Amino acid sequence: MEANILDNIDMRQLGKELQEARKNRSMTQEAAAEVLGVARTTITAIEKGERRIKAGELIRLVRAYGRQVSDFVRPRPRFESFQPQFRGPYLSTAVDKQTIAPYIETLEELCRDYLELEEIMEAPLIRKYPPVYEVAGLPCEQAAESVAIEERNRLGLGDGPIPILRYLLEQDVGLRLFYLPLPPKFSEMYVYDDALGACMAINRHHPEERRRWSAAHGYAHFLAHRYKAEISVENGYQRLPESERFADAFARYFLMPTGGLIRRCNDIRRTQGKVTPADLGTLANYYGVSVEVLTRHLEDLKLLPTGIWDKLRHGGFRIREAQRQLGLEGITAPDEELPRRYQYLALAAFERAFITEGQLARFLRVNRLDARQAIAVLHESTSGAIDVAIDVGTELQASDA
Amino acid sequence: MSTSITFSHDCIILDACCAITLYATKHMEAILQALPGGVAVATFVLDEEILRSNLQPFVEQGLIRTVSPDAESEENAFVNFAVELDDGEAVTGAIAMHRKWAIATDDRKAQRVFARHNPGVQLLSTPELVKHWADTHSQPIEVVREALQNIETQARYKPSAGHALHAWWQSIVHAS
Repeated sequence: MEANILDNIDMRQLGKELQEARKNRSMTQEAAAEVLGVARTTITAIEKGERRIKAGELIRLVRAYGRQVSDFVRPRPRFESFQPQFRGPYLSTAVDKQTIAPYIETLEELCRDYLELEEIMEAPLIRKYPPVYEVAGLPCEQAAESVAIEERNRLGLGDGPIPILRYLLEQDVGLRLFYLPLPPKFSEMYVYDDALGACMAINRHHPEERRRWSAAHGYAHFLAHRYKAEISVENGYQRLPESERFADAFARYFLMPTGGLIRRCNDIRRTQGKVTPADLGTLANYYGVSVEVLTRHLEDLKLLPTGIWDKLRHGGFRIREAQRQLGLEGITAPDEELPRRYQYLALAAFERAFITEGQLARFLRVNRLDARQAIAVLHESTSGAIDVAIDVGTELQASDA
Repeated sequence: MSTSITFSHDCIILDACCAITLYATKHMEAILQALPGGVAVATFVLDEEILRSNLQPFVEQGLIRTVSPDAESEENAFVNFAVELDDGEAVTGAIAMHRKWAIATDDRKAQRVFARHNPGVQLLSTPELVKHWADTHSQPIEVVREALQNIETQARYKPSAGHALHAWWQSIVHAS
């Protein structure tokens, strides 16, 4: 075996990553020193890259930090940590900051893994980003509707509903979008990095209509405030800043385009003479939003009298039950943690023996048996016969015959 | 078809993927007993959630011994292997290289990396270990078939078409 990798590795970079890993584990330098049986100053020197770490020390330290040795020595994409980008006026309390910190770290690791898979497969993500929309100084509602219309036109959406928003943003725009099990009050996180592009995490625990809203909200930040990280948190502001009001308004117009909504309301009035709660349930399901969001938007557009939503709520309108009676089973969409493209890249990398089974399981955040199951499902869905070994990474070509 | 493997090492160290697959046979105890020399698993490998509880009885019976890198040379090799492999695979390769043990793994990339860094290593796979048990203990074909089918259904493994024992495997699984 050739020379020890630790003799040639960039010790400053390794030290920096070890320090981040220690801090993410909430360990002090003293505690790390105890793991190695050395003085605290030795840890300081290692983290500054001034003392070359020995293999045994690295193994013991990274295990204490709950990480893999391979995370620190294999070539991985490097970019600035996400954590500092989220420092700012986004979170009102120290508790919120502490609560969300591990999820920021998770998003960062997932994005790093996504980029690593792209590098392994030599398949960079194609970014179909529009230029940043200039909205400063414009009236919020008008600016939001105008941007929503432009984006709908750019993406060829017309004025109909968006079937699976997640796929649209991943495939047609090129966002990195993950569904993470965030704490209940957090809806979404957005961050931008030059190497990664736009990255977003949506709260996986929320119902799909709320996830769609959160994704549209985050997308608004991408369109208008691209380089500023943002976390969407319930009651996070005493008074909503302009950027948040723009994002909310954009989400409304993007998910429920005015032209289509007016036409559908008029159709209902023409045929029935009135809009009923059942119609609201049906329309909300059609656009993939909650009944509350739809009703309030119709009120804002003067398509319903003001106060209808409050009246429905106080009158005990049971939305889910009403939608069930109408045969509307709620909006369903894949809620996998990882983007489909990420999963395919990982499986293709394994099929080509670019990564091992252990690495595949780590990329997919599952155990090895579940990773094998994912491969089997992929084979079955692509070939219909498990006996045929399909390389999902090969170019599809017509038969030579 | 009845050729049996020759073990050229004192001990076989099981990689995680091979350990999972052997466990799925439901005949792991007999398969381990059939192997000459010792069988080992790296403690790092046992850290994998799905392995610890499954393999613990075999560790307690003394059929599997758990090993860790205990020399600087092994630690260096572990870190070097970790550039290309997962930690469990890396530590398995490092220990095998320095103790001159055979490695049982079904992972194609791991096989390639082990062979490149340690050309003398004997690389074994699940089909070879199962076939050795079947041959040396004259197992009835129904029992072997059940073991292979268990592997296919529980562990989602079957040898690729290029594997030396692919034809043997197929002949057992599809024997009427």
